[in-house]
Amino acid sequence: MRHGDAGQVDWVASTNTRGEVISGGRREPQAACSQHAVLGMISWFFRKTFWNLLGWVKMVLNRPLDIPIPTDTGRVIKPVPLSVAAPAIPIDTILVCHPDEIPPDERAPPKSRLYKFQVWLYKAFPPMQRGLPAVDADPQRALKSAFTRLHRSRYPAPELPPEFLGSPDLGSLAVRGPYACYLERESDEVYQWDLMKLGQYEHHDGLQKLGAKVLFKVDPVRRALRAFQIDTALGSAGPTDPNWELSKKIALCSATTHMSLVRHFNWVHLANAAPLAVATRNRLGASHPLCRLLWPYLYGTQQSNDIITRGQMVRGGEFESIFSLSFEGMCRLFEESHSEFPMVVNDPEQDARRRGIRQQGFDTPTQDNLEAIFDVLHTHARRYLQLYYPDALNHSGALLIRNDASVLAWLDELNALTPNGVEVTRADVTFDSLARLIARYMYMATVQHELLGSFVWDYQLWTHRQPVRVYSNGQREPLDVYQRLVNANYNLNVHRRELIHDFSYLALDERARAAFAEFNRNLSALQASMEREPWAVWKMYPDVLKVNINA
Amino acid sequence: MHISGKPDVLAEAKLALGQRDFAGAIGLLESALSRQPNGDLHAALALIFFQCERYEPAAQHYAAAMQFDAQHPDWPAMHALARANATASIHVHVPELHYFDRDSLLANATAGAYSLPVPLPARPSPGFIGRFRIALGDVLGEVITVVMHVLTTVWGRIAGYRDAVWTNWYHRPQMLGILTLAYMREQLNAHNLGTSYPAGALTGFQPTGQTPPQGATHFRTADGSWNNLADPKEGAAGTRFLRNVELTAIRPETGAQLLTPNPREISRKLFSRPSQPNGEAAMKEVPFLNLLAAAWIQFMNGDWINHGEIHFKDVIEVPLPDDDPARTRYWQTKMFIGKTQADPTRMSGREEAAASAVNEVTHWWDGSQIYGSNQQTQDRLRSGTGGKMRLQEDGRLPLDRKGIEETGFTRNWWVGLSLMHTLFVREHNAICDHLASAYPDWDDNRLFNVARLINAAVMAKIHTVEWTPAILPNPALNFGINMNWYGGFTNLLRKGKARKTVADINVRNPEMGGIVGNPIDKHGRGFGLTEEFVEIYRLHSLLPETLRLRRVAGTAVENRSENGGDERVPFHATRQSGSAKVTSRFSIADLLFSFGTQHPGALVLNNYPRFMQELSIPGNPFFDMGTVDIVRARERGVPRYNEFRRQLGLNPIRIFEDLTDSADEVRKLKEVYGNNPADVEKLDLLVGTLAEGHRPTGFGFGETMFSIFLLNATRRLQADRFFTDSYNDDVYTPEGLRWIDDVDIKTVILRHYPELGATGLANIRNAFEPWDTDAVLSAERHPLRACDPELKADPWRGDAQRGRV
Repeated sequence: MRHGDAGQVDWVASTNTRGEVISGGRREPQAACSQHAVLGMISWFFRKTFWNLLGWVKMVLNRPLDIPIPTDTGRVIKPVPLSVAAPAIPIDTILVCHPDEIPPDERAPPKSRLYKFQVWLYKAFPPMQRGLPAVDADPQRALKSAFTRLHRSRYPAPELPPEFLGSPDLGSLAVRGPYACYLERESDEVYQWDLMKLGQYEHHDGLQKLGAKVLFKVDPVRRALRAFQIDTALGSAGPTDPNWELSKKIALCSATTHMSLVRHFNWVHLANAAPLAVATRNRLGASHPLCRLLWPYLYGTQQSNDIITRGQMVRGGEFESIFSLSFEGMCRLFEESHSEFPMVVNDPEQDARRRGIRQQGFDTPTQDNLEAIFDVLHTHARRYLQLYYPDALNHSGALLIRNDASVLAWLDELNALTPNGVEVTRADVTFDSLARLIARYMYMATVQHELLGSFVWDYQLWTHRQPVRVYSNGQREPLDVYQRLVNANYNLNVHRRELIHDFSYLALDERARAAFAEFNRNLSALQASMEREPWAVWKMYPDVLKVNINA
Repeated sequence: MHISGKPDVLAEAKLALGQRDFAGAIGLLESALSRQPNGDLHAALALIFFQCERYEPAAQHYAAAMQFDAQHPDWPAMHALARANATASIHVHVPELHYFDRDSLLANATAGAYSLPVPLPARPSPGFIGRFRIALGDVLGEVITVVMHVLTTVWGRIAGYRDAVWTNWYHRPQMLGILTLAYMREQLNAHNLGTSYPAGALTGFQPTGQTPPQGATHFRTADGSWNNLADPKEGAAGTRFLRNVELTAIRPETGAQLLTPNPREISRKLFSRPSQPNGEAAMKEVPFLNLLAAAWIQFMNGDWINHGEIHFKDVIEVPLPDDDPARTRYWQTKMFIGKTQADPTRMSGREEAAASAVNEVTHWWDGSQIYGSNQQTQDRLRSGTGGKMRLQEDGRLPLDRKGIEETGFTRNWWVGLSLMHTLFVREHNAICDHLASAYPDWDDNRLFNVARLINAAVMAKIHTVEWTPAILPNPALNFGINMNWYGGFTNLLRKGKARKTVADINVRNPEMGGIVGNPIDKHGRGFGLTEEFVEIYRLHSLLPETLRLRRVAGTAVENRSENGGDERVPFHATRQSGSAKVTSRFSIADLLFSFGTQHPGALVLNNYPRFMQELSIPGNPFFDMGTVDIVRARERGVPRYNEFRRQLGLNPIRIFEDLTDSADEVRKLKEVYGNNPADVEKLDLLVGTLAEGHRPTGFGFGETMFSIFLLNATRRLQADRFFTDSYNDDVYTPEGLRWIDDVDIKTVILRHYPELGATGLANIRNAFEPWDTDAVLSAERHPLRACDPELKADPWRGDAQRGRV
């Protein structure tokens, strides 16, 4: 890129050395581009306006789900391969609920029709347009242009995390915010984010290969981590190497890609929430106390997964259009990562122990935050279970649980449907393990889904710092890619049913009603204690949590 | 100290000390101690070691003395002082001793070793719309300049700005108050821009017709030369301080006049902090500032002004009054103050000013405190890659062989300066990263020099629109100082970070279009900071006796020091090499947090740091800075308070009662200066400014200081080519200008220490205010919030409560 006219920087930045303008991995001769630039921008204006409007309409029309008292339908959901449920997605190893099998009480025909229309539009009037210039060099201007007043009328603009005020502070991101989940101990005094596997998947032309391993060491005085090496396809880079900044971008691009595709959609929606919904509907009767406890967390999952899967995973869908991976690469990633799902990611305490990051001489604020919320969920699960398995604490309760055929069948089905199982089986179930499993599911539907979805709003939109695509020629994301990223994330923030809500109407009796009420009090107490400290972008507050993953 | 026990030995030791025979005194006392140890002998030996700057054995012997009498009135304090001096290696000269050299100072500017890149070709001229905007700004500017001048002059002449003694602009409605300030500034520009060079001489006695070196048009040189291409040493390091008073008013004081009233007596009676019941000094705090504000101004002073090394053999002897406890504590009857270096460039027979002195650093607002004021220093501090400055792997400043942080200016070093220097060296490196991503083909030298320009502007902006209103939280001043940077239109039409320094339609007028980015204006006089400017920046009262160091923790703020609470570190233990010892135990983030939650002292009488009244400096173990502050103004010919006011167009006080409503302060002033009507003329400048009880609303200091401030706050921007004519895309790059627009001190801190985003810093707007975490902030502690248009709806709700939920 040459230095020169400021007004030309954006345009030049999106031009490769052969004088071609690159957008979304597609190339066009610059001469043709200049001839059609004006028409192209007019076309883009209408396209952008339409898709912004559609996103806004979805935001406006969406209402939090009213969660009814469960009823026995007598129907058993038999999961089918994704390629059967959605033939446009050639993935056989992931099992989902067939659209025809969606429980009648969940079905939302208007929403389904809207999503079908949206998918039809991907071809008829796609949100992507070839040959567009890159977004503005100023992140705030880029955001202002894409996140319009229309958007802002329903949801506030993202906050800029302090870590993105300059060159991203990976050491801070390793312990604060959504990417903290990737931190693990590599060896004595060395910690890492290991996302190298992403390098195995096919990506769009013109992009840097994903995949990175970031190595951190502890700064004992600051009680913080400091990135000292990043391995990528470019090689190893240290802070003084010329490739350091580019390596950082690849690392963050890898992290955010993995977070949205794998951690969020694949692991939460497909590998975890769907089996929970299926097993609970299939094996726990509507009047079973566990069903009543878990019901708000799973209601609507089949309907929601069905429409979102098609909206995001089909060819031309959001995942392919926004992120680096080609459709084929994305499908392979989903298949392979689905089979690697570890249930422990829904348990911050045990996950942290597994990753070896607790009390290692550096502060872990996000970990502390998540554990505090998990504690409330876990306490609730134990308190509730105690109502129905009262002797459980003196070990005879295990017998009560093991004598509950519904629970055992539920565990069987969960283990059958969940990749690598749920770490509790009919053979070894105890009061403690069952309570922890339930807490993990509540945590998955509330905290994990929020952390990996809506919470990313404040991180993923700052693509100048944390790109969703790293272009080989150094350009920033083109306008269409960025706009789609904004709109996709925008719709993750539709108004949904809060966790702090009175679900006591689901209780089977007064004791359970009291337990629900106590749970809400505990959440409110945690909220109050957190509000005594300054708000920070990386903090997860109980009052932002939604009760399930569904819109 | 009353010495008992072995009077003969002690008397001999005292005699030896008076003859500077340290070895003899030590030998006597060690011999006596070996025969019959006692507390007095240990203390005496400790004092001898102290006087010869061997602070470690001094501390050991004071400790030994305390074994005999732990309650002794002097020994514990002396022990603590010796211990702190040993920790800080106070005996070591920082930097190395260096005195001005006439030949070097008078050398041609072209002889300087510069290392500047070749300027890039100018960017293409703007298109039609751009040209239209420029033309519109020019036309508007012409019209507004005339209108503003007429308005200001007419209003100023009709309404005036003085009552019987004090100015009255702050009693007027905001806009009229601002207009009055504008008139006062016009008057100061017209009457108070003096030079200390002979008429007709270029700065530094440079010959005319020198050719600027390559790159001087686009980049700041290391020594500040060539900012003015026609007067190459204007504002450069090694040139004279200029003056804000008439040449006839410059009367350096000598002999008895220099010592009348006794400056040590002034220091003790009018500066000393009172004692709390536990004997510790009671500091009067400024509720609306934190200690970063104090560190900041010293950081800025390092950029602007320094008289260089003092003399150690040519000294001013200040008699210690009979009742001065220092007489017995130090076995001294006089205090010795090294004289200010003489100006070696004085030309006999040509000089009009009675005195002149040389500024060791560049006068410009160019970040010389971190980059150095000469090419050699700058080269030593640069990493040589990516335009960056050298830092340790952990992000701290590199240390020299003395254990002192390496940076551009290290005089009077302490941990507060270490914080600021570290922060802005890191900011420099972050700017380099930003520029490198926009201009990947730029080399190290270009990245460095553009980043330096940007970083200097960042500091200038923070000082102008944040530090200044923070210490002077007055709505009219706040608006006016923001007008200086952004211009009135931008300030009225835009809020917060939506304000651009150079607006899309940049009105070519300093009031309505802002000084920065508009044409240079030196008001017909070459630029240089002045002796009077130096004197008003004697703000030592801001400093506390101890630093309360705290740690920041992950989700919550905790105090986790070893004793379970805050760790109190004596200020003097953080000086010189003591600074790096603190930063090796507390992270910079912890220190920023500590400073953000501690208050500075108020700029009033009897609030001078006690530790500074018994300071040790290299080569001089007993040095009262309060005394020195008085002596320096007299020595350098800065007029005393009343004459200083007259020179600035202010009314003098008639009686001490004019100065303050405090009967106690008036009584003390009369005790020191006398009770005759003429005695008010003896009042020292610093004493008068600290005593001013009639201050503009909300002001942390009074109007006398403010007048110099009003003049120079504008001038150091308006006279600098890099803040005016050259403040544009070609020199700074569009990315650089945007960086400056987006920045504030809070952003800088969070950029480098994001962990502070969960502290009270997140809750406040101006990082120089206390980092309070309250949901509702108090008006007393956060007065500026009332005049922030972005907070209009609910100014007292903390920023951290505004987070999205």
